[in-house]
Amino acid sequence: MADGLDIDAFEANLSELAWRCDITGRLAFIAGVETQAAALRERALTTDRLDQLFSRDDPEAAPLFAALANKSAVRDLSLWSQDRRFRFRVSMTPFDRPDRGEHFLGTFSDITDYVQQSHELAELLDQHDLLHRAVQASPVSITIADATAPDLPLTFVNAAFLQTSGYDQDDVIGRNCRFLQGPETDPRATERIRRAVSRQAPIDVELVNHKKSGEAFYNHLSLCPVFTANGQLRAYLGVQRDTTRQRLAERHEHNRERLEALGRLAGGVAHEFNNLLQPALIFPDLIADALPADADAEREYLAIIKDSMQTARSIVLDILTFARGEELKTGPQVPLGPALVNIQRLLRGIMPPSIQIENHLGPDCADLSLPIAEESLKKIMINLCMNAAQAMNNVGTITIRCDKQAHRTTILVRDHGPGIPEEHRSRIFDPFFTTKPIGSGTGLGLAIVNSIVTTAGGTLDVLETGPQGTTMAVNLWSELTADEEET
Amino acid sequence: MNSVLVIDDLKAVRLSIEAALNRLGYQVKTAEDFISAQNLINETKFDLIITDILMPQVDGLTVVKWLRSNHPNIKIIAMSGGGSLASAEEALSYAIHVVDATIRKPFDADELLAVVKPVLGETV
Repeated sequence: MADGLDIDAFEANLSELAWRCDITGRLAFIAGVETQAAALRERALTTDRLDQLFSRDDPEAAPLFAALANKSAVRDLSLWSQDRRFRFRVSMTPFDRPDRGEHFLGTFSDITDYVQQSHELAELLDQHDLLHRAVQASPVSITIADATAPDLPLTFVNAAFLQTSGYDQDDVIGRNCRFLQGPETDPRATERIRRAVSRQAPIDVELVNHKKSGEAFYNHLSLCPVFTANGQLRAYLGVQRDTTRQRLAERHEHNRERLEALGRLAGGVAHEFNNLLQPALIFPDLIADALPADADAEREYLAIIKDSMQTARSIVLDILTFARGEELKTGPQVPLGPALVNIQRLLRGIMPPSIQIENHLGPDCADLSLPIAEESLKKIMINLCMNAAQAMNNVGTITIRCDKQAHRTTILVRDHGPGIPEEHRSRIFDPFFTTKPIGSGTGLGLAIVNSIVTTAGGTLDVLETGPQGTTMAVNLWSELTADEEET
Repeated sequence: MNSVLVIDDLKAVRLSIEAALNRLGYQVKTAEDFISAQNLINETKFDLIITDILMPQVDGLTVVKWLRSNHPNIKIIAMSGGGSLASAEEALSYAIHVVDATIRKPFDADELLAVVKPVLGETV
């Protein structure tokens, strides 16, 4: 060439195919013949006509054919070959030289691979986006902890995790998820997790965790290691489900079955006893009438017998109340505030004057309607308060509080007695378990309360007990509306 | 003088009620089951029958139904031992609509009288 360029070297590095074409679109290649573009020419360019290489029907190709007709230029047009196998970037400029006449000079670049990669990348991004959205939308909690950093810090938590735990994103990212553990977490469960992590093994475990508010919940955790393509431990995936409702429902069902069986037994026993007590309630009076006028001592003995029989009758009645716990759930529901005022008045009449009853009912609780009849609430409160008074040897203050959280209403009855001894705690809800001297209690009080509460779908718990006193908690759940059930 | 028939399968229950009513001047007979009760009713005119509502063999409800069809003028008081025995509760809740009064065992003489007297139209 006239300008002295080493044209061979230039061509060897050319990634484009240069061509010339006449105004009818007939092609002649002038450069790039020795390069990859030439290889492309072998494979793709089986024609020497522009309108056979590209389709006049392809809307993308319209500017090219317009330029050919108008003798104008196009730059960087991206076009599919007619057979759709290759994507080219096309530029073309018209020339008019006296020796050659009107013609075009142009270039093709094969961008098929590049376009392919862009598509794959876009798909990958789309998939990644979908995966991210799916994980965020998941109703179960999903967490990812970085296994390459010390102490497995959380690097990702989804929305369900934040909602269940009550934490904010900033509270948890970068921390080991043991912040969910608390006083009620079974150390055996955490030890199992620790051992599984040290073996890089997956694990399924249910444990009691704590929300940011401190509230305990049952958490079913599946933890599994995530490895890189070359087998390096990269992360731990945690999938967690709040199983509290399920656990409580199971407990409720278990209690219900147990109480039902006990109720049947107690009912049968009560029936027999009522018959056995019948003569014992009538004869003492008849015998007393027949005694000589001076038989005062004997008359006294008969009075004692009748008195004992009357006590026996009231015990049988208690048993029946317990056995019929099921019936007590029906009845008009009343707002908690007025009901507790009535009950406090009633308690005042029953309790010794040395017992103070303080009712600290929060303003948000006064208007609550409980899923329980006033008559049942009365039985619950009387029994809990009698126990509280007896725990304090009938001197001191009983505090009634109420706490509302979402659908749960908790009524708390607190005394300042010496607490429930450790060895009694597991048995206090059992029918006929009593620590009171024989004759002063049937041991049915808490069993009746428990029966009423569990029948209403609630729970009765010893919230705390110790030398500073005991707090009993009655948890009742209001019905979910259809709307809330859906969410 | 009002005459009363007490029907209960338990002797101690029959005897105690008989004694209490006797003391108050009622003529009292007792029966332990439906058959002997029927025999007595055919022999004697009773003003009042106090019957247990749940007895083995023929239960009190059958007695009540038979009495209502054959002796509509005899007053009836149904007794129940209570309990959560479904059958006892069911029987009593049915009997309540067809008898003159119900009473739950156990009761003392005064409680019995408070139920018996109004049924017989006597002042308590």
